[in-house]
Amino acid sequence: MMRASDRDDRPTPTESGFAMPIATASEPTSEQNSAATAPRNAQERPVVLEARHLGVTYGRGRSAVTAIGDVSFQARAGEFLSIVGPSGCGKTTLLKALSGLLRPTTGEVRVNGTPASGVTPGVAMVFQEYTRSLMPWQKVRANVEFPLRGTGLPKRELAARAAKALSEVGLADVGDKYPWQLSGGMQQRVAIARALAFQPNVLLMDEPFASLDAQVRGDLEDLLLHVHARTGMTIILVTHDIDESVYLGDRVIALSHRPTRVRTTIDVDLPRPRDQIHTKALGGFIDLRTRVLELIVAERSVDPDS
Amino acid sequence: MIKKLIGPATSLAAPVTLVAAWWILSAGSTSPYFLPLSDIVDGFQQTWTTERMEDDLLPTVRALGVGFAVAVVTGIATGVALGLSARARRDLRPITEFLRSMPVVALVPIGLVVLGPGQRMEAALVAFAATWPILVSTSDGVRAADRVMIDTARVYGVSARRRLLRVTIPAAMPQVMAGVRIAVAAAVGTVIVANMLASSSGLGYLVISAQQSFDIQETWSGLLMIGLVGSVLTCTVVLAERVLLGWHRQYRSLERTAP
Ligand SMILES: Nc1ncnc2c1ncn2[C@@H]1O[C@H](COP(=O)(O)OP(=O)(O)OP(=O)(O)O)[C@@H](O)[C@H]1O
Ligand SMILES: [Mg+2]
Repeated sequence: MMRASDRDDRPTPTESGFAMPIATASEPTSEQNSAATAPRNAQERPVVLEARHLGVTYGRGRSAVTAIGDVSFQARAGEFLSIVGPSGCGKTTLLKALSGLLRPTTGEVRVNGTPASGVTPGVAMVFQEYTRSLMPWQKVRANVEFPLRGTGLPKRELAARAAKALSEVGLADVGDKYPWQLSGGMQQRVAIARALAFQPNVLLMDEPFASLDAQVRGDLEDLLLHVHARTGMTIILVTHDIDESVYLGDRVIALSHRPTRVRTTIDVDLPRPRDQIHTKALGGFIDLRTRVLELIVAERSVDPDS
Repeated sequence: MIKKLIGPATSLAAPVTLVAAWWILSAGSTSPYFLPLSDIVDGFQQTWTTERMEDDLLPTVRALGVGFAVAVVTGIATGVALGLSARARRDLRPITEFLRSMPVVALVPIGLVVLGPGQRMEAALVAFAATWPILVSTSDGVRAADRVMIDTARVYGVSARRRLLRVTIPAAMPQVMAGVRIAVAAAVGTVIVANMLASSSGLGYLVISAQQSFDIQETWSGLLMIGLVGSVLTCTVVLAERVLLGWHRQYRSLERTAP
């Protein structure tokens, strides 16, 4: 019910509509427009999460591995950031530092402008190793409800949120199964449902769709776009799929090899709402993905490991 | 449903066959040491009068029960603490290794001196012997609890207490129960040895005094009862495991059938 009323049914703009920077014709005035994050508009929003000269080194002495060299960027409220980078460049490490799971060796993470200490409240994370993030002794429903338990939320509200999140990811009828009775892709969707039920301010996702087939993947990408538009949550998504990074993000941050830095940030000035068929057919989309791809190929050619 | 009934039935086939074979093969035995099973069963009924049960069975069962319960509690508590702290593990390793390799029999004399003969000493020795397997496997289980699972709970702001009770300990539970199962044998063995060496009653005492007075039938009766006591304790543990780890049995059988 909410979905239908929330859906923002503006017509898909024509190509010329965004070949020029967006500010020209229709400055966002209506409430509707502020929910859909036009990049220009986003510049005025508060920074919710910021990496300042972030560096992470694992271990000490000879065996030390500098996973992240010096990474700085800002995520503004309601922004959708895509992060791409070569394999093993420290994307997971970066998300762990942003969530507060891991204390950076140098630099800092700022949450709403103040230096973070410990785990940041209101952050949800979908882990790359989703199978291992679900508790095998609890049924699917209990897994989804788990983060909400002990928060003082009434039982009914808790159950309702879990049920809604499960049905959003298309798993309304597996609540009574154990996670290991489901396929890999379904388990990943359970992990996503758990994050959605938590209703975080910031959602961190580590290659969440990597193990899914194209159909389910497209559906979940659209679900994510929809949740993003509806709730205005800030989403930071790590992916190695270039199309995905452009299709979903307001910006794509491309990382370099280790020791990792931000190589380039690319603004994705594609209009929202986006959809699989039309957005991906836009000339702007194709140009952007070519640019991201070029960056990644260039980065690959200087691969220090090969 | 049918499978549920047939499963236990087939698992009884082997023991039933064995007992039947024993019954038949020993039926004509004239050896004074290998009595026919029928005689042993008769003797068992004669030996285990109510009075005898109160004098010899009850003290042993009580010492065993109390000692085992203490071992489960201390083994799990200490095991969890050691599993959580690499530092505690390292610092305490010399002590734990020393104590762990101490044969319990060697502790009977000192137990007698410190606690005197009786159930208190027996229970203490049982607790000592049974704690180690539980402690070691609990500590391993806690250490092996999946990092990703714990990090997930941390990100979602789950308190340390809830993380321990709801994530780490349940994750370690299969190993904890494996340790508890090993502890059963250690506990039963210890209580019998303590009975034999340092008591004037109890199952172990009964067996050894019957043997010393050449009452072979009673020796067998005692032995059979020791086996029964051990089996009952094992069954209790297995039942507890089924209740606590129902998911794990299915989980494992699924893994086994997976291609
Ligand atoms: N706990 C750890 N201890 C030591 N080194 C680590 C640890 N975790 C990661 N590393 C190293 O840090 C580097 C970055 O790891 P990370 O998992 O963050 O990369 P990634 O970009 O997420 O990789 P992938 O694309 O495979 O997911 C790697 O070289 C890895 O070996
Ligand atoms: Mg990773």
